[in-house]
Amino acid sequence: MSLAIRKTLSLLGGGAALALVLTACGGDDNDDGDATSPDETTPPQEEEQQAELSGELTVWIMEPGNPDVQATIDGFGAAFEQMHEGVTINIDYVPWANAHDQFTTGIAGGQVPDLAEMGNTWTPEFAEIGAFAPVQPPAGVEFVEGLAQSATLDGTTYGYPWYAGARALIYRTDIFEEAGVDVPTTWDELLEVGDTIAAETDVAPIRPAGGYQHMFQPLIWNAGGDIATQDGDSWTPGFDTEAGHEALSFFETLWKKGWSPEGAVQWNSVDVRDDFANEGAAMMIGGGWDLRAILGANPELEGRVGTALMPAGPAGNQDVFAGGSNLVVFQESQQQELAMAFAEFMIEPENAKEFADQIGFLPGTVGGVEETVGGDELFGVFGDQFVNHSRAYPVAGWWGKVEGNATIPTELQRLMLGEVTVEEAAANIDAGIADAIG
Amino acid sequence: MSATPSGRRPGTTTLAAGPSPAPAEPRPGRSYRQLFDSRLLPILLVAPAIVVIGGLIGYPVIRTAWLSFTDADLSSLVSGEMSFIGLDNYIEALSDPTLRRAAIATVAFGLACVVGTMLVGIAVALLLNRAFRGRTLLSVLVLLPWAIPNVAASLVWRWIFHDQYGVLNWALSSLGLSSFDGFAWFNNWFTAFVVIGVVVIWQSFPLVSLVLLAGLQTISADVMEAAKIDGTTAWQRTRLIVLPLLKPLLLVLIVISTIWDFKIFDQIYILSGGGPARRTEVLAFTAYREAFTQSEFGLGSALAMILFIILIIVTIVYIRLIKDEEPTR
Repeated sequence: MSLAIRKTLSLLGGGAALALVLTACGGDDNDDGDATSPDETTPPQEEEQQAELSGELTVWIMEPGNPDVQATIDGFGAAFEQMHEGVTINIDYVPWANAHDQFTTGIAGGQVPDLAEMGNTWTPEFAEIGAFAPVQPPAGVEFVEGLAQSATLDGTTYGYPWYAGARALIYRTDIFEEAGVDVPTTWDELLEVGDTIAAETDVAPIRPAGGYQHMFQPLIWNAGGDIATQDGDSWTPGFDTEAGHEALSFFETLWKKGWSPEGAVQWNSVDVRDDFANEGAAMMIGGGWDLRAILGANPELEGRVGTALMPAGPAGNQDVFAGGSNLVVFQESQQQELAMAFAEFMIEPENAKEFADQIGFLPGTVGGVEETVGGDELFGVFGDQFVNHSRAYPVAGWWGKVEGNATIPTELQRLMLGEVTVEEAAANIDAGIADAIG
Repeated sequence: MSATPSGRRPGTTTLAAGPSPAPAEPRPGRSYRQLFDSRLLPILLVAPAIVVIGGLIGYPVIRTAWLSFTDADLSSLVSGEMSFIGLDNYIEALSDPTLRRAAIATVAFGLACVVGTMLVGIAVALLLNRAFRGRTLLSVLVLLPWAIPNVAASLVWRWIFHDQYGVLNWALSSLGLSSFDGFAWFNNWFTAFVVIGVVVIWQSFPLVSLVLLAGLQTISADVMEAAKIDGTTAWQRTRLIVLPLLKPLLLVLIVISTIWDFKIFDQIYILSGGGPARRTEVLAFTAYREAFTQSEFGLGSALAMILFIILIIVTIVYIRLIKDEEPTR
């Protein structure tokens, strides 16, 4: 049974995990939209639709790994075609694992789509080289700040925020009851609660893992620091600081508790989630998509899991990473106007909500989030976390290199293996970031 | 092509080339045609192939070689601008500890896989060459690993070696080897390479076995019979008759295996992701990481060229060995 669960999970997980690893998406359209586009662009839909849109549009969407979701997206294309005679929407699905390569080679060979879904950590990287056309997301819509940050590079918006998600604390209510503990709200409480659970029950409190960077990286924010700070055109890495050391020390402390098996050095987010679904741990840091996958794989957990905001660090901060996707229009597209119209159609609240909800993510607008999970006992927390306590990784082209080079997970793994101290790991991470900045 | 001589079909020409030289000498007109037949025609005949191969292989290789001397990055894709930086990428590739390690790992791990593949391949071929019940079934089964796509096979193996839920750790600890309970195969570069090596060998030995089996069946039963009568042991027959007879075949298989095993990518990507801490990366993987995740196309190209050069050297050595084998012909 457990093996079967595990298998299903890993399949589910594979897709979603890739999505996660790769989706650090955000859209910053908000600022620009508000600032620069007063009313003439406000009612984009109706007005533009009358403007006789026509032509053929090629759209790349990340493979959702689920036929139902794909059908929903295809439905958007069909609906848009119906609204505009003479418009043809061709949607191609690109697996997340290949997406970065495909964009790179597409740009190199001049074979780019007109419109594409773009993971938000990649948006700055490609925007920086001029691959995307500047866009003006509809005004009068409040986009979630953490997501919106990621699509604005040097004051210009390059993407329509489509959907995103934020991780929060997922925990086992039955285990908490058995151990007689309350939900931790700070790092210290997390350690205390963990000790009690370790003593009172036979599941692990939480599983720190070396390949799960979206669990670790936000810790530096919680400690009051930043991954890198920008001053004009220059960036300064921030791990070799007091806050950076605190974040690394906290992670090291969790690891040294021995709550994770040795193999967790190489575990990624999917391994952590599979383990939780397999009832191996009492807590994990994960998103709504994780919880969905967990309940899907092990329905027996229904009613035995709860969610809470991320425990706050010593600085009182509890931000997590806002990961999701923007819709970007390619500079080389001959159909930019049509692409923008279709993008605006896709992010219309009803459409974005339908899609995001289906994949366990949240729409990029505050209203959309409220509509999707507001008041939901279990999933509402993710909305709160996303709207109020999430932010973007450094919005700069070099961030993609830091991710691509596995700079941070590499040092985490070395820290876990006892090869480096907290100070050395911090210095190495900063050196890696500085190298990426160039 | 237009100048094909007097309606003679190329096929006949080539066939005639062997026996014809004797009467051709005297007349000058003849020798002109013969020059065409023996020199120009072959070139014309292979020209289309050369053009296609040159386009598909030559251009990418030259382009990669050229890129490896530049600082091409993501912005070059759009602007087309890149500067020539000489050997800087090569210097970085050989001085950066991670990259140097990848180069060394490529050779050491690749050779280990070749040796493993050949040994297993030979052993299985010898086994299948014997008559026993179920031999046909076994030969089909042996082929299976070869037929499974790398990625699918690697995923299965990752499960087998999973530290918590892997069947291997379960089996070993059930047998009383309690140190394997939760043993993390991928935490250490050595054990991780062992696992990757097992998967690579498991996938590549079937071809070796199959080819060698075909070779084995060409060895005359009389020879073996005679050797047996002379009182040789099975090991002596293998060492002194079978392997020498198979040597040309073995050398070709070694070349092919080397080229494959030095280019390992999928298995590492799936099994260890290059970890822990990038220590199970080999050149093919590192080149990909530098070029496509870091967008350092110049450096990635340099790594690819280093791999290319290593493979060329190894292949030249092997070809020399093969040639040494064939002077008798």
